[in-house]
Amino acid sequence: MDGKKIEEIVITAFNEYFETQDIQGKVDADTVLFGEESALDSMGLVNVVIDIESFFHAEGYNISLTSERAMSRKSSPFRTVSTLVDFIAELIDEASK
Amino acid sequence: MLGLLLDQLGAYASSGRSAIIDHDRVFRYGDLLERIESWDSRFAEKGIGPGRVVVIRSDFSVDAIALFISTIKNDCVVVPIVENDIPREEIAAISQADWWVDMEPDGRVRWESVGGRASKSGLLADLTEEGKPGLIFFSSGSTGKPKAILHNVENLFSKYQSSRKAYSTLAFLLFDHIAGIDTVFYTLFAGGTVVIPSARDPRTVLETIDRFQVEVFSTTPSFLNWMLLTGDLDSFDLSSLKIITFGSERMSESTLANMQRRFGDRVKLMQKYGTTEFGSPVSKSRDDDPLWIQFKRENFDYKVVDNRLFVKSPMSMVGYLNDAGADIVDGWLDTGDVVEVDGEWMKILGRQSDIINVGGQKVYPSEVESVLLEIENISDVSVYGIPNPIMGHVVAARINLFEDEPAQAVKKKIRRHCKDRLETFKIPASVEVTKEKLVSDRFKKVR
Repeated sequence: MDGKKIEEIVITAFNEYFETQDIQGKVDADTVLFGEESALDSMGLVNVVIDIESFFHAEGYNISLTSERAMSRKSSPFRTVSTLVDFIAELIDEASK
Repeated sequence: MLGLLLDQLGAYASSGRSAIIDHDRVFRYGDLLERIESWDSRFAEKGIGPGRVVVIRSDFSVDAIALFISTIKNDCVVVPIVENDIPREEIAAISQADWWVDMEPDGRVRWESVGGRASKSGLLADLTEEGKPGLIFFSSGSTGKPKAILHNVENLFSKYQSSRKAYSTLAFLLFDHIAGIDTVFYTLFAGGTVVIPSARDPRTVLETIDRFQVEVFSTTPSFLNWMLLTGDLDSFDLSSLKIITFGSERMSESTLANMQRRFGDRVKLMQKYGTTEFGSPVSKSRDDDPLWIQFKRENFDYKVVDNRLFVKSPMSMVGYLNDAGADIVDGWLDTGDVVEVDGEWMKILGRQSDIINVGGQKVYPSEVESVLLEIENISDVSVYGIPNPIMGHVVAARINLFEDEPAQAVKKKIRRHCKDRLETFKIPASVEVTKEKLVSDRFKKVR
């Protein structure tokens, strides 16, 4: 699975969540996911992360975005959409090795 | 006490009243007495004397009820059992059983001697040496380990002295459950009619209510929800119904609202509360909202500590026959139920063990279930917690649908609907659509 495809999945997941919760604005690669600038609270982020995971599970990629490893990284994979996409690509890459 | 029951049965027999309707056949009180006597002669034939323990594995039937009465009349200890997960050997060993009676739905009866000893040990000895009849309930218990609870029948039945209203009552709750036994004996002591349904699906139940003019129906909230959903209610005449009671799990607001819409003021809806240890207290429901109940402190005491309900009753329990149920401290039973209190009124919120802790905030599954049931095309739902590294736990929902629909669409619909109805942390983060039934064979929600 290439980076573009992963990005598309991630962006769709966020936009769909925004839509159901009436959160204004669209998500793109540079959208900040966490912290003061984010339109999401932590519960919202948890929801989207679970959505993304279950999407990949359904595609046969058994990845966990909230593993001990993800959480203990020096720079969080949840900063922006693109850092999250990179992290997922890394996990998928590892899983297929 | 039992003498009183038999006197009552005799009196009702002479007035020719119907006692039990079983598989469409009507048995009068006289027929019931005859059957009790015929079981009595089996006890004599087999030389089963006082203090012996008899396991009866059966559903409710006229014969099972007659054998039950005969067993306690012979000062034995009765153990009512239905098909369950507890191994037969374990039941026999814990209850120190002497006889095991299998009663099949087709009427076949098999007696098997299972090798108990005449002298019992422990609490059973205390009871049987006094020559008192006993009753043992096996309950799955909240920890999964079965609890075996011994009651003194004379004490357990003493409350029926005041049963006066002769209703026609559906024996819906099961033979091995204290509430099932309670339904039947309350009805018989009062000279009412016990109506046994041939199956426990909504259609059969509704049809039975219609055909035999059932007045009282005691069930669980999950079953009522199932019944409302089948949409068959209009095909039957339910005008005989006067009282519907529900208990053993929390009733959701949406199911209650549906029931009220369906039955209006014509039927009294009542919440019941009970435990296998202490039976159920006399209670009343608040007129404007039956989810609020009040216990009569008559042989039944209660206290609420940190919103958790503790109950105490000197009534009938002799004690636990195994160590699985050491939930009692100084006579107080920790029910594990969380309640809201308003003066003398109380509302059951759910089991402590079902509460989901999302980032330190409490979620009661039934509150979420109630909101999800408002959504079109959702027929049933079970809400539970799943571990999550960020929040500790998050809310998850398993969904039954009327018509197939993609899981993704269902999830979106749920989020949209819940947005204005629930706080964010209560909205299911994970949604699974399944065809598996979400209600157990004991008509309680599977979580």
